[in-house]
Amino acid sequence: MLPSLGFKTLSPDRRRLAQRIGISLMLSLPCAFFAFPFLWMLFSVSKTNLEIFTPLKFFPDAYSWDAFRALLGGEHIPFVRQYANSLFIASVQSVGAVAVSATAGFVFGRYEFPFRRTLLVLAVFTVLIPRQVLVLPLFLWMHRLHLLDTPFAVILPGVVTGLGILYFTMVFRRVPGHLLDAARMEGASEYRVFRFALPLVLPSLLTYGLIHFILAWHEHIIPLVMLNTETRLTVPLALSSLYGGDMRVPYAMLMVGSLVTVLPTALLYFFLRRHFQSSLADLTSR
Amino acid sequence: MSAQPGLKPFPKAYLAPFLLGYLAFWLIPLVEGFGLSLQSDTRFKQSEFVGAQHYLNLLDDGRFFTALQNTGLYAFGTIAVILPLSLLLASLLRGALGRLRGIYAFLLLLPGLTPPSVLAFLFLMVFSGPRGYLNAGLELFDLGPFGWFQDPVFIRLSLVLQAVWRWTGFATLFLAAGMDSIPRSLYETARSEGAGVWQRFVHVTLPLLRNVIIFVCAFLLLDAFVLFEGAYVLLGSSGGPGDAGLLLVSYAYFTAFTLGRFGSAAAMSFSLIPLVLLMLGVLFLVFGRRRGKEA
Repeated sequence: MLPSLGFKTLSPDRRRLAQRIGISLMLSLPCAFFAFPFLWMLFSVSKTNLEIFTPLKFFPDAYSWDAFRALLGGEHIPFVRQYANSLFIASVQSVGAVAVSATAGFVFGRYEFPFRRTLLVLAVFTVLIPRQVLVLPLFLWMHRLHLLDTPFAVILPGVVTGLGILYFTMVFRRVPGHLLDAARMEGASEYRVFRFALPLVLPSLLTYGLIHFILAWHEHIIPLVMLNTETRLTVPLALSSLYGGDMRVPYAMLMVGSLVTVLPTALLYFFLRRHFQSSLADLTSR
Repeated sequence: MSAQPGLKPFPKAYLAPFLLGYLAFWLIPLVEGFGLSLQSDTRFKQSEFVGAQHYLNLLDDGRFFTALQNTGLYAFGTIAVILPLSLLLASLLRGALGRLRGIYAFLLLLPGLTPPSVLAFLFLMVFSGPRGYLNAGLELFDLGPFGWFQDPVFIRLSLVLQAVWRWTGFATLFLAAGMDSIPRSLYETARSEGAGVWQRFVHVTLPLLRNVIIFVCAFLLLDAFVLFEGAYVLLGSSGGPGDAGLLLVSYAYFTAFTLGRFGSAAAMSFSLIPLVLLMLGVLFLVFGRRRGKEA
């Protein structure tokens, strides 16, 4: 409760509204703090290097699209190509991870079979021992498979995730059994039953896909180790090679490049936010 | 569909992609990596078995312990800041005007949607570059400019702050969802027994959020142990002044791919495993206790 000095005279509804407005105002401060650098980045898109390094200068003197042209025209880095690489890697990896995790999670969640527990414990271990620890043997492995410097060297290690298996095991366990039995009554095989179950867990599939996409989009060390031709790099690698502080590179171009890294993840979040929220509610209600 | 003796039918083939991937991209690399850590340092050529030599060398390696200390400090720091902050923000978010909630959630989440290397760059530019807002602000008071990234304390702090910036949004959404699922009647009962805001938070919200809190902490802990990008973008794989930004993953990366000492690097990576398990064990022990007390 807020200190109720003048509030006592207000009706309960009014008082609740006043309280909500107060809380909203309080919350806008940390939100502004979190988002401020992004706003700064947005306005820096048309600044000169000199303006960018002028303290406390927030707005540029003139607005222009030069930085966009420089970036898309590939003046310093083949950005469009690298962006496409990143999109390809993150999409294929997240779709793959959802497919592998959902199928296995369905079996773990709905059936009893020998070694079920043992296999689940093994899955837990993949969560506990992060992929980044295995970067060196994975590198040697990809070297032997002749996959180094291809997107698959980055995609494949990310497809198996213990977290996904555990998540989908839990998700499928909560699907009401009678819905699946209805499919069985119609003569569906156990493989077909899975397809009946899929639409029931759609929000979970999309949510896990979203989270995996975000993490794959952000991935740094695995692509750093696996890729090295400039046209095959992912966006975070390409940008961080320019972050070094070479003043000949227009910083406005780096701002554009950095800004558009938020685009795919933000759009995905925007379109999937309802599913994301409902899965979160589902997940945390136990 | 009739009752069969023995095993009920189950879609075995659905396990195949998982098992195959598990074997190929987790178990085999794990075993090979461990084997590598017992071999002498060569890249692709024939190497000799040296047993635990690399692990013993680590015990004498001051930089390894610096990296260990930084990583531990960083893990502890991020959790210690993010958990209370996101609990507070989640409570506020639930009390905010309904229409603004989505916008607030998005703003908090924005850094979490951004690649950490970009966050590191932005952090450097806005807050702490030589001409950044931090220095510009201090100059108004005739202080500075400071070379923030020459200062070991600030380097450590900046890594923690970047993680706070990145993960607080997600943690807040998870905790808010958890709070939404707590039955209102529990709060009303507590209120009728005269419990204030703080007491309701400690005795109703916290215990019922236990699972979500454990999940958030475990996630942050695992992320902290593999942190790499922030330090890499700001300082390269060298570790910066006083090795303040030297982390376990960046040190292992440096040892393997700059120095070409694969065996030592593998040993370094593998020494992470018992540490991660130990920290997670402590985490579960701490929160497991609480449950015991409640019952």
